[in-house]
Amino acid sequence: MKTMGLQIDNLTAGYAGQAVVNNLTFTVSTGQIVALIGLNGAGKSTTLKQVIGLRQPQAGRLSLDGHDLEKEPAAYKAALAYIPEQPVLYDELTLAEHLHLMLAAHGQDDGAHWQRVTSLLTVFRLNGKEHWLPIHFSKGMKQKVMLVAAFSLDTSLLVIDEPFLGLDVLAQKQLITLMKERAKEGTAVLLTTHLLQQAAAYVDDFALLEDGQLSFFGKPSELAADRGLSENDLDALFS
Amino acid sequence: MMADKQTIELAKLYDQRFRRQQKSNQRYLKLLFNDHFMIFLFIAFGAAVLLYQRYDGQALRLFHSFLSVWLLLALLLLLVGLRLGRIMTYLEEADRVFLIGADGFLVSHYLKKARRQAMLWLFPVQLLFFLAACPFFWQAGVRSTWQLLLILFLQLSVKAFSIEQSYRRLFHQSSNGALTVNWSIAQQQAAEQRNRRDRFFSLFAQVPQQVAAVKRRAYLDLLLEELPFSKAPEQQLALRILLRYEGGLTLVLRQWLLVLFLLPLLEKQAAYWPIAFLLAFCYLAKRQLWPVFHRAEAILWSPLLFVSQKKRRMAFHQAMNWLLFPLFVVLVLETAVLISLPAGVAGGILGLLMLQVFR
Repeated sequence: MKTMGLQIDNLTAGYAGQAVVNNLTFTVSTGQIVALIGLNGAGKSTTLKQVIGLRQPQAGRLSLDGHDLEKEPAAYKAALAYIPEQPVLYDELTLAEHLHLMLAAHGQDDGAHWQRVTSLLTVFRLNGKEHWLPIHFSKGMKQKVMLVAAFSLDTSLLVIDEPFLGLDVLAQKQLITLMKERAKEGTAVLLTTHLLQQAAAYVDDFALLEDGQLSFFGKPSELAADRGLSENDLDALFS
Repeated sequence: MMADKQTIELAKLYDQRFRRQQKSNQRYLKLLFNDHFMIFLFIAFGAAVLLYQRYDGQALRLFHSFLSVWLLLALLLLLVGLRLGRIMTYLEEADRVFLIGADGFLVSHYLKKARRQAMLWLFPVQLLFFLAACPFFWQAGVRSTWQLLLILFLQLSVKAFSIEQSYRRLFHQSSNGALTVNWSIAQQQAAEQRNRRDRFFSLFAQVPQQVAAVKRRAYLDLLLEELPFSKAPEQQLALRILLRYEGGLTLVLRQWLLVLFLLPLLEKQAAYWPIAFLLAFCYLAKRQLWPVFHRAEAILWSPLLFVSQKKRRMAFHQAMNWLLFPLFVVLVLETAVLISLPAGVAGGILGLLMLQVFR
């Protein structure tokens, strides 16, 4: 039987033969929001790069809805949407063209999804700016373009690296609402964050990385209990 | 520890920056004068020699006046020479913060070195342009040694005066008569120098890490609307990048205009000349546009959205050919009409082959 959602099995990955993450195994099931947490250098970004298929793992296996990354890279990548920490856009494409391209590259019908795109543009106050080039956007607005592009897709997995960087408070609230809604609809969400207390309110599980190893996987309350912290004091985890 | 011993000697700051700039210039010049640009220059120089030979000995007077095309060309060369060899301060944005306490040093050492450097380069640079202008002065009837020496003297004097004026503008005088750095002028001048250098390198070459403009070209919207992303998204992406990135198609258009202008001059030459020009255009255009592909590849989305790089390369190749084909057809028609039909046909077939095969 195919496992739905993201399955990471014994993943070892790193750079120049040096392993940054070792033997990582966990699952982000459909409808689940998992936050990958850890100090700088713990291996969060390396793990995300593997999950989105940007780098080859040194060992281990990744699959999404049963599609193995190595054997079916096209099907695997078409089933995920990614929002990087720093917005990356094509200098030459307008906002609307980025969205059209994203839908077309994922093989999703433009007409059927445009209604959703329009409402997302309104939510993030980007409506009326469809013909703007990235050079005219502020960093926060670029990040919103990335959000709109990712959330306009019907994908099984949403991968979000530091979702709140550069976003205003209103956009942060809207993003949390959107993540919850998508999870309810069955999308698996994997994100990284340093804002543990804030994340505890909307994530299902924390995956704690320490020195490249998964040292804890479970609910925020369980993490707090495991580390002898109160549930309202998760930000003290690394202090 | 090494890091502890590394210090910046203020007295050597200008020399360090000068050497760094020379290194960077050498790197950029290597990129600019690469093999395909050398072919292009060789062709352009050959065309200029042919043109000179064709009109050699003719007065080429303008409106029956004493002015001739020869004289104008000679003066143009001198003017280009005068625009080069300005005072280079290499001042940076951060200097205003970090060197604000070293005003005296900047006035008495750093900027004086900048002036000395500009004066050192003055003679060789201006002499080079003067020598290049000499054949045109000769054709214009300016042949006496004294006349030519007087022109050289005037040229050197104008340039020296201009350097001195630029140097003086770098300072203002305080109430007690002491000179201090006029930062707004000095930094504006340094920024202009950097921009001028960047513009020079981007005239005919794509230089990495160089800021290049992107223009939306709204007048193409109607055309692009007919080419939606839903049909072959890789190609649509490539097409838009090629159309809007200033460092790509604009370079090719300049080369195209040059070839368009040069082809009629080859009317009386052997048929292989226009064919060689057509092929050189196809070769250079594709060589100039491929770096745009690598630029697009560096964007994270390209490998994420489209799994196969082979497919992305093919899509880019096709988009390039769509854009180059109309330009190429105009050149072929020009050759066929102005030179000869066989030359046009042969150039057309070989050029198409080159556009298709060269990837």
